[in-house]
Amino acid sequence: MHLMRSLRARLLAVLMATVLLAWAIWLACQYVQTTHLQSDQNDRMVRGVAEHILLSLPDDIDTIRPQGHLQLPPDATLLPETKFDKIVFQVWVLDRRESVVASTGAPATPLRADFAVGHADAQVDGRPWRTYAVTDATGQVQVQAGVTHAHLHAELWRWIGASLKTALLVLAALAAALWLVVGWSLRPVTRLRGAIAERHALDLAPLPVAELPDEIRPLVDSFNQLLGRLDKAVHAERAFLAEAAHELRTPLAALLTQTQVALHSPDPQAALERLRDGIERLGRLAQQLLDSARIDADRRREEHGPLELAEIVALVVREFEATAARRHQTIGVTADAALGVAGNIDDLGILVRNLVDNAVRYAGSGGRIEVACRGDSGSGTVVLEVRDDGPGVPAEERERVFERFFRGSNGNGERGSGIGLSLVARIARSHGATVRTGTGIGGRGFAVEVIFPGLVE
Amino acid sequence: MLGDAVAAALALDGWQVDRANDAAAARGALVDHAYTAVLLDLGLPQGSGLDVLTALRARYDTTPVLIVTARDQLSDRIRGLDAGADDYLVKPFPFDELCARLRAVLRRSQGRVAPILRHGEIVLDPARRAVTRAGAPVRLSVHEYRTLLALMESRGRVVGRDHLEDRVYGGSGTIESNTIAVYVHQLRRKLGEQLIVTVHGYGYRLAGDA
Repeated sequence: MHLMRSLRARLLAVLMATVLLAWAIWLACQYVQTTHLQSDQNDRMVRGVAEHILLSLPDDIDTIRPQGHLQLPPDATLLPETKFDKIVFQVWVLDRRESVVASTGAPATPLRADFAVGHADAQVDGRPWRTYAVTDATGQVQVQAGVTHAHLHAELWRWIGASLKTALLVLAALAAALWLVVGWSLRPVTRLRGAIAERHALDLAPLPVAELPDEIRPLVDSFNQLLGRLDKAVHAERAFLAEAAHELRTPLAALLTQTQVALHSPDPQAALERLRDGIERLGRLAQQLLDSARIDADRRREEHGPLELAEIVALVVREFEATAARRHQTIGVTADAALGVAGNIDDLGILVRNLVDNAVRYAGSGGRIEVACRGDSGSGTVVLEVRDDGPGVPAEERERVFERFFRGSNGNGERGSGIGLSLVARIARSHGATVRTGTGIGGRGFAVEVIFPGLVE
Repeated sequence: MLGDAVAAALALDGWQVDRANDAAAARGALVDHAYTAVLLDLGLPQGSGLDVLTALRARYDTTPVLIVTARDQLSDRIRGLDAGADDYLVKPFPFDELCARLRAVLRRSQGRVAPILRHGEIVLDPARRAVTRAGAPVRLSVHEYRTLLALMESRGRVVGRDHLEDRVYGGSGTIESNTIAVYVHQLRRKLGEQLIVTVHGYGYRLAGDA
């Protein structure tokens, strides 16, 4: 699994980055402010030291010759260094340019080589210093005090270090808390995953939605709706399969009987012909079952291409030539040119085949079937019409003919499977087409119109 | 099993039948013999029947081919016809129908020529079933192609509507249709409005000598 696809990792990364950025900005602000503040403070400190020392000097200090320093008793220990220890001073007698008193650690050369008074940055012994010089009222003695920049910076860095440590600690605590909260929030999802994994192949019961976070619940709800639809579809398919198997039994039984008759009859001709008809019917049923499975399997709208309806009709109608000739029927095809429809060519082939097949089957011997493709320039639709002059379908049954396994009362000696027109209806629906029924040729027979939306150019 | 039954029935009908049991045998037999017609199953062992057909047509062999297959989808049928089959029959079929189709295919193929046909900037290659206009390939449906082929083979003479119907469909007269007009319309749209001239009340011809 890619790390960034984990919700937890993403949340952590974003949160950490945000916290770090915020901390860095805060630190930068603090740094700028503190440097200003500190330099001010430091200046005052250095100046204070210089002035105090000047005021505590005896007034004959300019006459003293430095000859050595006092020492601490041998058993005394020095106080550990504080930040004040870093401030050093020198006392100069101005006319001799001689340092008479100096703190330990002070450089031998003057902190202010020009002996000017006031604050200044100076370079002494190759190191940068912040200094302050003050001269007494007589102009004889000058006290110079100073502190190195390095010392000031060390102070600042110590402070930054401490702040960083605190920030990291807070960050770690946040990360741990987040990790736990995300894990805890996602526990219902993990349980859900487990529940799905343990399911049987066709267990389509809805998934439990209790305790799910509000963000995930809509997803599971939609999924449950899908499961519901799937469950209905699976049930419908099972029912269809059962019925189809049942449908196969009847013609098979008839075939067996006809075979038996043919074997024992002195004139088997009639029985053999009925046997052949029975086999043809069975073949047709197999075809329709196959078609039914196919249009379920690949109902993909996006694969619909522009197709020439007249071409499909011409190809399909030719398949019925021999059947129609045997029944002394004629099929008339009239087509307008350039009738484009968007569709799946195999589905449309099934649709046209079933319409023509029905017409040929029910028109009866010597009947006429008319197939027409025409464009309606007003509505931009493309109409496919198949009419016959057979006995037709009673008006009260016309809407039901599209139901699966529905068989009309007016069979004209034919016994259909009740599948063909249901296929037509399903394919029409998947192509956004509407189906209308009516009366066929010359006030009799049956007519089906399929109205396709025209191609959007 | 179907092969045996069909061979037996054809023999009863007076045909002399050679059977090839796989794609390689079919290719070999088609090279060695000049058959009157070929029944081709698409699901051959060791190879596709369509490839056998394509190879046959690539040799400019115009032997009529009738595809006999269990593949019943319309797109399969169009693929077969596009590959150069003369007709396409889906299993199961009554034997009468096979015989009728076979006869129709034979009738249509008589006098057929294989060389490349030219008319002005239109070039039709029967072997590859390819049509170009000024060198650019033009996609034609099966029926459009057959209409154009019939018109080009007649080299500017008028072709009657009935004859065109027969050349395009090879029908038995059970089906009356005006679909030839649709194909002519499409051909004019794809190849130029001036290409085909309507001879009112009779049929069509190609325009001028161009």
